[in-house]
Amino acid sequence: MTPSSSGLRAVRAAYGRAHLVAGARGVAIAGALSVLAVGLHRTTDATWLVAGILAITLGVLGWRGGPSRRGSLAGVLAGVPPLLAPGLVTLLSHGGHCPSCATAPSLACVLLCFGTSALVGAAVGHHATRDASPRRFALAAIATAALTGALGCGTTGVGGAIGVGIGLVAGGLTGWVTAERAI
Amino acid sequence: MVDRAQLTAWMTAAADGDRAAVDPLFHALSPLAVAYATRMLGGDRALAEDCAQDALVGLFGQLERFDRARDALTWALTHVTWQCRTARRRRTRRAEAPLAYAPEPGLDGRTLAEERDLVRAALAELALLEPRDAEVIAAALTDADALRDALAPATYRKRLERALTRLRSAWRARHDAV
Repeated sequence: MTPSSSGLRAVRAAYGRAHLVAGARGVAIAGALSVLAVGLHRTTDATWLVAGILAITLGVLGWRGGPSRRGSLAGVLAGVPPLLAPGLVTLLSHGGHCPSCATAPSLACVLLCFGTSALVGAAVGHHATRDASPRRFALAAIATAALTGALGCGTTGVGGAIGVGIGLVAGGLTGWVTAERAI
Repeated sequence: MVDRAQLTAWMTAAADGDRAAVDPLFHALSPLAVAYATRMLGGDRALAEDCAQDALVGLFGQLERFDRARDALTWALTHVTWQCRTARRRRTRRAEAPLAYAPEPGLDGRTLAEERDLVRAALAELALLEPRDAEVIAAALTDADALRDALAPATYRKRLERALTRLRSAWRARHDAV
């Protein structure tokens, strides 16, 4: 084996290892977010489904690297407000207990999910335009932000999940267009 | 001729997760890294190849940190520089590089013999010093600047001064002259 071929094998291994570690880090982040969601909200089958999809998404995007990895991490940060918001609303408006929230979510919850998602979506859209690969960054960010937010807002029912989705897309587009015009 | 733009393009692609850019980037960087390391290590080709490979393994393991606004070759050679400095420091610590005697050209045979005896006696005296003192004197006589970098300038100067004082005393005691 020539030094060059052994060197190439070593750098390929180092490169692959770095990507695997990044993927594992994504799965670990998804695990931590799921624990937080389980601690804060009522758990349903949908919660576990969303947590599983989030783990797979963060793992794959982390392993792919580049803008996908950067976007996925930005999306996780953007998804934290919608993840925490329903818990706060429940705490403040229902005294910490809302058994009927899943079937009849309060308008406040849905609006809060929509509002926080729209705000963070705008931030993500704005930030994405500054990345070297804005589309891949934005897609990864919106996907992980929606899943992270759904861990929280999804517990308020379909209305909350739809609120997160619409909010992120609308906010993201707004942020993107605003940033493009400013350039 | 190195196509720096092509290197940066490959490094950017690899940093963005394009696996196909890894091989051409390695093949382009490897000879440059080895040549640079060989120059840094004073012609020690075997050590240079090890340092270049270690540097490239480290570099490919953290490509995600590559700032595309920077020049890829400069970034890669920065990694090689650090690896070479580490290797030189290790070599100094293990005393793998004994102080070499390089006579000045144009000396006649007798002067050369006297000078060689003096150097041999100085090295023998140096070997009897505390390792701490020998280390700082060796660092001052060679281009090994790891110790200098590790210490505050005033501390380094003081340590060197003390080591030289002890060397002088030991020399005087043994040879009755400075």
